[in-house]
Amino acid sequence: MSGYTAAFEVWRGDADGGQLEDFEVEVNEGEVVLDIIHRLQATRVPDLAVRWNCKAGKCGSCSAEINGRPRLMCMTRMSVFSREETVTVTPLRAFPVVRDLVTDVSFNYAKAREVPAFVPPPGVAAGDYRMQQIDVERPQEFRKCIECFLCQNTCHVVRDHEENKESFAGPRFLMRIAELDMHPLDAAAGAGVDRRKTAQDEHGLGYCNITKCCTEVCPENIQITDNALIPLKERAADRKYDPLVRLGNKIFRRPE
Amino acid sequence: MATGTEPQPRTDVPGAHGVHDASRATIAARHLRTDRWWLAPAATAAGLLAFVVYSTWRAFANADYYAAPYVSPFYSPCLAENCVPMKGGPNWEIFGSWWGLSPALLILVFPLGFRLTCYYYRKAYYRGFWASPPACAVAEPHRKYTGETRFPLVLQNIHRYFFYAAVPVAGILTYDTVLAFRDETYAWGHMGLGTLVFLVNIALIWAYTFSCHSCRHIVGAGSSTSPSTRCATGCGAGSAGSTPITWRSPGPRWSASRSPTSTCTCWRPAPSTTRGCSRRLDDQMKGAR
Repeated sequence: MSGYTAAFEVWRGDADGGQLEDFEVEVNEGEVVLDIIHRLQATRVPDLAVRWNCKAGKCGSCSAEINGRPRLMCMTRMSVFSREETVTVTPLRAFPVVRDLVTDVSFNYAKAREVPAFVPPPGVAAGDYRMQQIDVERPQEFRKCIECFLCQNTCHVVRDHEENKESFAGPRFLMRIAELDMHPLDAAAGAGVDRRKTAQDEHGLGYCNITKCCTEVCPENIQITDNALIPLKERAADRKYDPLVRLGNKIFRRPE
Repeated sequence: MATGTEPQPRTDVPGAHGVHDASRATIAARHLRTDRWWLAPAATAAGLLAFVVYSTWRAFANADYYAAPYVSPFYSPCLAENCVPMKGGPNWEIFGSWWGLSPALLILVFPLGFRLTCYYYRKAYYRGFWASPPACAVAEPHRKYTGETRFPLVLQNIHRYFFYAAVPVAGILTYDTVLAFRDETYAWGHMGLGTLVFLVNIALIWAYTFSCHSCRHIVGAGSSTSPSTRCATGCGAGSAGSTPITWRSPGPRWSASRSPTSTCTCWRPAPSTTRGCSRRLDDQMKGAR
């Protein structure tokens, strides 16, 4: 593929307003959308604000919406678009805009702080943790998360309903709760933290209606819905909605 | 932006919500997707609607559901006296003669409930019928959203009970498939196109039933440790609080009893939790030594 000129629409503005601006920009073989944004910065609009770091799909900084789809700019090849197509780049539309392509993602940091951390098992020194590989494989999938917040951005619970941000943690942090609840050595229950019950009562698991957009946009291909959210919903059902499980816990004196 | 940053307090502007909230980038369009995002939910809605119309008609028809030896899955098991006699078939007159409606209505509630509360179907019908959301990053038309936190959608949490009911129904349909190896005079050894349809049907039904997320939870995914770990740690005793030891497995007797994925690192059960299978493991360990 030789170089060509592509049509771009990039949103420019801040919290007081803004609009999509048109650009004609050179594209070369093998380039990604972030390269084009950098070329715009270098040649046309030096004050264009964009957040980026690794350019390798591992830092999660360059999240944006490209042709309306939440994606990492550094992992979106220009070759997926036709040469005639106008490529639209906007900031994430679920978070407050700071300037141009940069948004205020502090909602996610606030939600992260609300999730109780891993509780070490009592009487076991950190170096003595032993787990079967089969038991750590499940939560390890969720450790691939690069915190790009594309799942948080695309989840309609908060994207389309700002008022739900207070009561809904979002897929990334419900996945974090699932990860900790699946951890073989997490002793949260012994410390009085019932992750399954609080997932429903305090972190808004019930808002999730399993429409799988978080899984669709995940650049790490984490099966967020199938492997984290649905298992967590089933675990919450154990605690709150299944009388047989509660009866069994009473009879067999299992900790609730 | 430091991770200790607090979100800005929200300023509520009347009429501005969702992607048009005052704090967000001012973009008039509900979405900027350029692909045919509407095709998948439209096709799903059309397919499901066609099935709902057809199945409702067939369920209320109360006719043409048995042609020996084949019985429609909608009418199996047939639990009322007004069922067509099916030799050796699953017609048990539990509801007697007072039931005057189609016998399909007695049994269809279970597979219907199983599918209505199914996690897989939820994506299909929430997107296709309720547009909540119609597609990813396409703004939904609703002003308020409470999801599955309130009645009636909170009832989705009883999905596992429909799974329990779906298993015996699938078992009976398996029995019907076996009966499909008869001919119209009920002589065994027949196999027609209908038999093949029954075989495909029951294979798909079992695949659907066993791939249920509730099934996965019930058979072990609800625990944080695998069955082999629970056995090695004392039949479900929590790992936390147990005393870790490392031991080697030199004997062929022990090696044969371990899962191929296991390593030779194991957890010793706490004394108060030593029960059944862990005792057997202890015996095996002694034998191996």
